[in-house]
Amino acid sequence: MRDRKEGKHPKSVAPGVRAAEGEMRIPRRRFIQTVGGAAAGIGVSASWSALRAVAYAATAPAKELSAAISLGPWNASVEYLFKKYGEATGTTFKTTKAPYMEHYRRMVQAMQRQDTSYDFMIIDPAMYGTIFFKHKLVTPIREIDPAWRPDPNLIEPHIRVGTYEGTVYALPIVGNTQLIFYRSDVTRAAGFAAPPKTINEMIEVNKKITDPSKPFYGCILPAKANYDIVYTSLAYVKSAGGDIFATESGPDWTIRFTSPESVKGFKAWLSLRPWSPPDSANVHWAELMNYILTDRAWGGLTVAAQVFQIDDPQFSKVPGKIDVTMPLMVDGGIGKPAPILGTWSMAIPQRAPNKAEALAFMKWALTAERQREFAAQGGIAVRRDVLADPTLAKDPKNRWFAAELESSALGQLRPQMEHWIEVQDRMVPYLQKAFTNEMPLVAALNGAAQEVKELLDRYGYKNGPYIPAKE
Amino acid sequence: MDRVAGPGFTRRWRRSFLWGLGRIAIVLVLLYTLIPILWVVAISFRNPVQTMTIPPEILVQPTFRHYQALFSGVWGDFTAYYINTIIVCALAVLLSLAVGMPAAFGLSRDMVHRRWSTIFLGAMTIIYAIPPISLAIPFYDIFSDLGLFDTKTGLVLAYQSRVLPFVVWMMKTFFDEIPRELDDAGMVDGLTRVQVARRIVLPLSAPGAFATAVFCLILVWNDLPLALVLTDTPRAKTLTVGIVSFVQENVTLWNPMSAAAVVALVPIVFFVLLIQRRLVQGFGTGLKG
Amino acid sequence: MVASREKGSQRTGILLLLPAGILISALMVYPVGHMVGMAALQDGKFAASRWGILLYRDGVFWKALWNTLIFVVTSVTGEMIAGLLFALLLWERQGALANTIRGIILLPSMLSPAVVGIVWLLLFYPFGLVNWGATLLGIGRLQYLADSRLAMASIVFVDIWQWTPFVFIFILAGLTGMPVEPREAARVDGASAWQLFWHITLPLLRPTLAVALMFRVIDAFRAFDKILIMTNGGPAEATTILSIYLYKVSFHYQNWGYGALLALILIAVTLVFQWTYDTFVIRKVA
Repeated sequence: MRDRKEGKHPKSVAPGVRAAEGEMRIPRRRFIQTVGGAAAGIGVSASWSALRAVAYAATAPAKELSAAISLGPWNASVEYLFKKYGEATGTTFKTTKAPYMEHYRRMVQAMQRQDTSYDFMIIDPAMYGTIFFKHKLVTPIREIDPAWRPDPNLIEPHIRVGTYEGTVYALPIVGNTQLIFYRSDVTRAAGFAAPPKTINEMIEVNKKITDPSKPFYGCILPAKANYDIVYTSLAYVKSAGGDIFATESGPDWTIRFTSPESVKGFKAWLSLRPWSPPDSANVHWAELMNYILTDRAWGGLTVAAQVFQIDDPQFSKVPGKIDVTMPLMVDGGIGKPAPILGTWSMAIPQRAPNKAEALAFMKWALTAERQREFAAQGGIAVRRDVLADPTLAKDPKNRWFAAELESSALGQLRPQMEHWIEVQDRMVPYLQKAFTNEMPLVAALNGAAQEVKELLDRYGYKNGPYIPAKE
Repeated sequence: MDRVAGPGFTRRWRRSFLWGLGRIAIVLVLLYTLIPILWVVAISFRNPVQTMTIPPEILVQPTFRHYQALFSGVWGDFTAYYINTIIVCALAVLLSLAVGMPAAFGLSRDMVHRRWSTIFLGAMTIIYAIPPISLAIPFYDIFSDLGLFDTKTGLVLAYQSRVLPFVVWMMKTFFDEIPRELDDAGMVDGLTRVQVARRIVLPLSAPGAFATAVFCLILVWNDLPLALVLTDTPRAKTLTVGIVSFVQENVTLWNPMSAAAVVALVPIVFFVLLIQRRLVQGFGTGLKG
Repeated sequence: MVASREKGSQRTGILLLLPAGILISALMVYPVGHMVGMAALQDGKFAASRWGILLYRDGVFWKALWNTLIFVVTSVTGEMIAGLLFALLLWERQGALANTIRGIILLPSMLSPAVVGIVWLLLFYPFGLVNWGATLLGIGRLQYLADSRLAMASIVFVDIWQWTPFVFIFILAGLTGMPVEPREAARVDGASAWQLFWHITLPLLRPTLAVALMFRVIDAFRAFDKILIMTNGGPAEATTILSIYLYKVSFHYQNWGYGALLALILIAVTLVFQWTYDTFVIRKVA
């Protein structure tokens, strides 16, 4: 750059003259033109953007809450609530949607950056809630309204999912819980008056109705290399009296998934494998429903949010033939099923500009009338009185309400720890290997325990020695 | 023609055999390439029930439902996504050409000290090698601070990390193929370097530049990581982000998704089929061995 | 040729590179610095422990590294060979039909990798087309993405499917740009088709192959969307390559420092690969 200042350039020299000597310069006139043009361009676009911002601010709606939700089949029912709220109170919602993991990442980062752009978000507390609650990235409900108490009609486990160390941070909106979808017609035709309630009963049903030549499989075990394999096997583990850790939210994080009860639960889970389709190791919720809806399997354990497809002829070859029941109990276990909750909850970011309005919406959405409408739109209600409502129950479209109520009432949480996702990632490969018979179950559980213990120690979770798994 | 058995006969027989083999090979290659794509198109006209059954039901009443739904806004503002994608991709490619070609010329003609050109090219390679997701987060941070998050401008700038190295590398290769003697001849005739570039080198490398531009267009049209992280609303969301929004937690909506994929593919396909010859020529001129 | 290093042309050269340089610095300095910072520091101090974890305790990292190398080598080799074969098959034909066929062959590269992942996920389903074709051919149903032995092969196959056209067009261009004389001369001398290919065509194609290989290698190391969608890194981490692992560490575990370290390692491995290949292949070419 020094060269530029050194040389002296008489203004009137024509470009061609110097070039003949192999030298090169940029005539000053040209230079000024280029720079001036660029500056003008920048100036124009800057003023244009400024004008647009002013125009937008002038015409912005009176009260607009910005909501971030993740993509899912329940979006329509929630957005229906947003719309109704706008009609009722004049407060509208500007909704942005993102895929599950991206939504999670964006919300965590936005909260950590003290972003003020979101008033309201819908999260999956069971999977990743702790990072928000523990670090107070979302506002406790009682901080906004100290007088708030949960309506006794709200199913308590759904609220517990959004509670951390006694403080309620998130209120449920979509009561997603575990349910078994199954073919009631096939079950009856095989001579069973009621759906199976325990593992042994399920094996009986499996034996009778499975026909690999058609193919028609029995109870499907979804075991894809994502967190479903933990989510589904956990239901059996808990029903057998086991658990992942000694406590759900600390302070004792001693590993318990290798205890005799837990091993019993895992064994019960695996005992259903022979009647599950051969590619179960790559079956996720969607594939599971597809098997059932295209008349190729009896049923399987999945989440309530799947219910929208069962009678829709676009999705289902067997409309009206699918029914819903509770997850299976493990024989000789605690004597109850242990459905694991997957509730979607509403939370208010710590730096939300309109906290009171957001909470007002949340309270409104959880009233009985609104929940009834929500359910009519296909949403999964979280109120006892709505799910048990006799008029709604009359509609065959709502035949799953009773099971949903029972399942939610018994709903179980997953460990409330910040590193739960990472723990699952350590467990998933082992569970998969056990599932595909690449490794015996006991060896797999011990291997997983070793890695999880290393993780716990590394992150400073208090834990004691664990009982290694035995046959 | 000699029909008598002899060396000529064997050679002819072998040649026609190879010719037949070649034909079969071409058909197989076409099937291998086309079947997945045709299947996607087929699914976009079907319902979920018909999508996952075997034997696949060939004769199905086609439905345009998904395309209608797509543009009616039920699944998100796809019209906006379309417009955004066109604008962002065009601007990104134009910007990279405007900025990258001069740089490539400077590098090709050794107009800077060896040290600078090595650093420059090295930086380009490193940038190209960075996994897009690793770039996306720092971009998310800066853009949020600068107010560029969820804007088309932001995306255009972010995409430079994808296309600029490509442009510089490719154009440098093409410029290298154009002999310096032409430059010198031009300068002897009284032109400045810049004029030489504009009047002599540029027209010769135009096919190469064109081919590079098309490749870059495809690169950014189909990008996912950057667009996913850096956009939020129909203000800047692109088609690819719209397409993957059908892959949800509980279910994948194959059929509207296929419709969206087809819709995203059509302009590219038309474009490339039309200029396919030019594309080959373009690379050919530049890559003479 | 005196022009090269003169001050004047140097000045122009710098000005020509300046816009690109500014753009790159503005865009890259913060991200790269940010990444290095995150990888190296933890709470302001040098995070030596991170390296300890990486080298001694993170079994997944080594597996991911190994998977990445396998993936890159097999898919790039497959693409190069397939692209070469396709190009040899189709370059000499003329006419509208040939043009259309060549255009059709380009299609897979024009799809988004994410879309390709979704499409092949559907095709590999138990009730997808691939299994149907397999049953027709009597092979029987295989779990392409669920079987940890097959999964890597399946994703390599899909990667080859998508990127062969990219190589194809490079080689096609190289073939059409080849000088005609050497081939004619060899043919007149009675060379067989194989000799023609091996001794004349291939050497002339080397620079084209070199460029195509360079781009494909760097791209293969960065492969991400397809695999995430098809297998999510499973089953049992059989298809977890470095880019997927670093995504999980960063996005899922929110462990950004470690993720940044993994990213830097990935970049380093890519560059080492590319440099090694550069010195050895370029030497052959030059």
